[in-house]
Amino acid sequence: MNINNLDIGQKVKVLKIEGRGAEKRLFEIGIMEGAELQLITRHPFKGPLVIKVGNANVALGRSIADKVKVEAV
Amino acid sequence: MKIIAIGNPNVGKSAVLNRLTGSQIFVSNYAGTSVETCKTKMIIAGREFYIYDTPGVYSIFSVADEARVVRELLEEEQADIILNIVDASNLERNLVLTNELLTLGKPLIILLNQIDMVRSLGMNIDVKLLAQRLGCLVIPFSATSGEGFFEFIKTMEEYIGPKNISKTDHNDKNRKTYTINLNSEHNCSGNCFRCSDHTGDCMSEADLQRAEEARRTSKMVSKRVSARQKMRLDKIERIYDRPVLGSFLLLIIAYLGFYTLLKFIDLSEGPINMLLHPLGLFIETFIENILPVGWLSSIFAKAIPEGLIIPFTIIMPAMLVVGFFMAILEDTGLLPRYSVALERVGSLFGFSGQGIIPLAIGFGCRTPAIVASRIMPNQAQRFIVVTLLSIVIPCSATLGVLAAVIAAFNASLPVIIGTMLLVFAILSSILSRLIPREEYIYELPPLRVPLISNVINKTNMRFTGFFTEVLPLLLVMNIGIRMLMDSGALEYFRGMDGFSRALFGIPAEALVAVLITIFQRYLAPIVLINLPLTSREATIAIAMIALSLPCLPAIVMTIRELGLKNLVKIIAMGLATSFTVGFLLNLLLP
Ligand SMILES: Nc1nc2c(ncn2[C@@H]2O[C@H](COP(=O)(O)OP(=O)(O)O)[C@@H](O)[C@H]2O)c(=O)[nH]1
Ligand SMILES: [Mg+2]
Repeated sequence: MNINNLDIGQKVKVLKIEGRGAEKRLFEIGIMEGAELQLITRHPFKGPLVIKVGNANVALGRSIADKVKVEAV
Repeated sequence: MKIIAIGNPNVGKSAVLNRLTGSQIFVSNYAGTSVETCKTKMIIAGREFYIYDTPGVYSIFSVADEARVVRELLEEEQADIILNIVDASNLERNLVLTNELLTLGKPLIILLNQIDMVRSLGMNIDVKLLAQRLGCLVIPFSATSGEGFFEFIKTMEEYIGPKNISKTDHNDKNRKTYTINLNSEHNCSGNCFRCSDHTGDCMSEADLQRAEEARRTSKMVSKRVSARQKMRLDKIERIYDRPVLGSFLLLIIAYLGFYTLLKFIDLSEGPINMLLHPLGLFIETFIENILPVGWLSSIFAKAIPEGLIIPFTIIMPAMLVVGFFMAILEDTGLLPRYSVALERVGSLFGFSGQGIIPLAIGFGCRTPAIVASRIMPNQAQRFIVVTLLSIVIPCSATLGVLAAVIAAFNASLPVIIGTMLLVFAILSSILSRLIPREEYIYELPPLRVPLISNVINKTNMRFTGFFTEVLPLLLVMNIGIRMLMDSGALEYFRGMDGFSRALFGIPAEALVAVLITIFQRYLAPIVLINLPLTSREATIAIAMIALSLPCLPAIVMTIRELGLKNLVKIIAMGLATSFTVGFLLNLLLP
């Protein structure tokens, strides 16, 4: 499961981040293995997602969101 | 004594320094406000402390520009203390950076900023335990309320006094210190910039350990003590989080902004003109009295009063309204929400959604818009936006004058607008092909109630440029243009007439007007209006002017923000665009 498939408001835990590239940028902003996330908004027409990490809201483009594999908590 | 303030983006570094030192650094509620370092001074117990404000970084080992700036500052300036400014309401992530700073082996003081936010979230942070775990001083602080100010002063007094914190804390057993060489290879501790980051896209073992440590510490010291206060802002934030409704509200706000701008210019024009008229007459008589009668006197007497009109009636109100509106959008945290809502639209043109913000501001005035382009995620994307701003987007002053000239010559409005839209689409898609797009990752700030003092302060700081840069520049230019026209110098360009007519279908003087846009785009139409042009010639000339070079204030700003090299590229593209447009329109128009 990746964060693109979540329901709005669903809380999940990050399993792993696939593929290289933005891994480090995601890590810096707090999205890493074991981090807890919540989906806040999904913009239409394949627009960005807004995700809550800790007490911060982070907007992610779909292509990068696809790489974040999660499991339900 | 040198102190370097370091922290994540948008934690309140600038606000803290303003509070501590009384400096007036720009404070805005979104990540990426400041890209330069800035030095402030405060005197404690008779000693001078220099505190450096730095751009926000998530990690000092990051490949981002901001982190490079911070590393360079750490290497260049032998800092006595590092002041780590932490957003207490988002402790875990902030502590990752703290853990990095701890390994630098320099005296470290932690300002736990936004402690007021922590309380309204119903949380409590055990400051003593945190200090113990990190092995350094932790001071709870709030830049908005001033809480913690005296404790900071006291700490500093102790630091320079007999009881030295670098002695007591630095050797704390709990604290692991490594000597990190930020860039050099000597004395490598296995923990330096090179070891931490080889390729820029993967994490080292040390990175993961620091993150794990931050998670543990944050869990240990934070406790929920009461229910989260239901703030009105929370509710509003949730509305803006709704994708359709939120975007709709953002559009309404933008529309209201433009409407206010136009209405304000419209309403203020009468009264301003009423004040300007006697002033103009006074200046005219004054000049005629002090200068001997002749060519110079008549030029100045005419050009100066004339040159006051457009700056005061159009540009001054535009700068005020746009400045105020921008300040509100920035301080509430709405500005970055546009970027998210419009990400899709932007990507059609090849830039991230953030690009819409500076482009929209450009319709007011390009100079603040170029500053606002800082919201773009990287330099390459900024370059696209600034290029589009410089070449295509007409500012309010340009729009007004273009409309007047179009009406005067009965030029074809659909042709001109169509050409501009087409150039925008073509130019942006070419640029985005050349420049790789990055993945979209952007931290949204919480919505906040703007501080009135901050809004006024910012509007004011942005407006001072009107009297010191814009007005003098425009006056001088206007005098120059008047001289050029009255002296008959334009006649000399007659020689180019054949060339100009063959290529672009316009007379040589009109071509000169196009070249004048480099100084100030709205001055070019003033030249045109004095020429006998047909409707077809006017259409081509106006289209060439509308799609040409940035004006002088924009040029100055571009050099400051992007450097001379990029400016040269933009100017070359502007000239190429303008000439191509003229050439093609001449071929295509009947
Ligand atoms: N509630 C609250 N807001 C703060 C505090 N400090 C800063 N802010 C707000 O946080 C935002 C970011 O501040 P700024 O100084 O520009 O952050 P910087 O990017 O770290 O320099 C602004 O909207 C400030 O008004 C604080 O202690 N409490
Ligand atoms: Mg700042």
